[in-house]
Amino acid sequence: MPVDAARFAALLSAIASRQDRDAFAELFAFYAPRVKSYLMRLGAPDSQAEEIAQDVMATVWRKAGLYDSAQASPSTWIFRIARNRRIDVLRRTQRPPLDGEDPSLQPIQALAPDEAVSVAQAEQMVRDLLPSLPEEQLVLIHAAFYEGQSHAEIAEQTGLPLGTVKSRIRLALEKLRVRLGGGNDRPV
Amino acid sequence: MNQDVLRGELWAAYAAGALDPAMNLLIETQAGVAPPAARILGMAEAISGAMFEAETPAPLRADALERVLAKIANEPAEAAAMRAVSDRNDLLLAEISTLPAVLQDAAICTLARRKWKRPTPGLRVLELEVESQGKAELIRIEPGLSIPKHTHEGREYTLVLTGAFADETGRYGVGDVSFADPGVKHRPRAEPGDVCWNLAVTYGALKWTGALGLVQRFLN
Repeated sequence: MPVDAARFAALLSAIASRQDRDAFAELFAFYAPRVKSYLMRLGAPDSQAEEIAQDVMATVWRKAGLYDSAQASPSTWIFRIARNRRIDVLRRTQRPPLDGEDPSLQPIQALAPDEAVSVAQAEQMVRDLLPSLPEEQLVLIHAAFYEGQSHAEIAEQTGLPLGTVKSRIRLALEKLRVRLGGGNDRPV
Repeated sequence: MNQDVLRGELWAAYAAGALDPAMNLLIETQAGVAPPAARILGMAEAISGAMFEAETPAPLRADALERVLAKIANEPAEAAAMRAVSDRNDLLLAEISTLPAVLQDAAICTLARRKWKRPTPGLRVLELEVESQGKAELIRIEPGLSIPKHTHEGREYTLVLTGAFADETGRYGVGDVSFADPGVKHRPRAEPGDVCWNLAVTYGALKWTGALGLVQRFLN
């Protein structure tokens, strides 16, 4: 079921401008159980996940005035609050530094003209494209970008060779990129 | 190609909140000085945000909404955050107030308890209070100044915030990250012109070579 980002953005604005409790209740009904589920996925027991989820939603109320729909969708914005709260409360072993071969360390080039869409537009495109990824790629993107597992951890858990993990993640991101660029990117 | 960096582990770990806090600060600061980096960060967060949205809901207690409403009953929604640097006459603070907000906050919190160090004339270093396996330092280099040659036991990532510097591995301008592997010896030199502010994140101790190294050895 597609989520109506514009509707949720309007609810946040109603909270900010007139402390609208009905708007908050609607946001709460959708997001609070997802925040709780996210926390439990990362190992929080039920009672602690419940407490942090309530806390996160109280923060959503307080900070609603800072939400900017040009910068992020409501889901991404609320996830950021949940993630940061989780970092503060549930300290996990954080990832050690990367090795020098990691592609993250390549220089970042200036945007190509076809990439110069707004952050919000790019986000919508990512969201639309993710479900079209093959399942075997999607689960790896989920593990890396959402559950925060390193490629080595993913390899260990799935039993896939590390090279396969890396190449499937690369393929998935290339699909997102090619389609974001309208299919005009050079072949890789 | 720009999005190639996304397939590395750094941005995914950032988006998932699994990154060491010092590195997290570096990534957020980079987004504040380099729009292409902000775009990459936005893409990574778009992916994690979409996955969060698709999360299977876990029901809360029946009275959860009531409890939250009670908690926020008397709280007005916050206005946009105000960030004021108290003493504009302080040259360093005035310069810091031009840096990305996330870094300003870290520096100002730290300055309540810690002072700047001056390892050599023209060089100022503030070790930021970040709960990290590594070390995050805000560094100010006078234009044209060379940093004494030093080597690394661990890995060092240096993000340029203003000005530029060059060393044996290349030239680094605003938004660039220089990466030094363990064992690399280098002698960075700030370019003439603007003051060069950097955020350096180091995992493992930094060893000075040459005369300053000697001093450090005596001190240790």
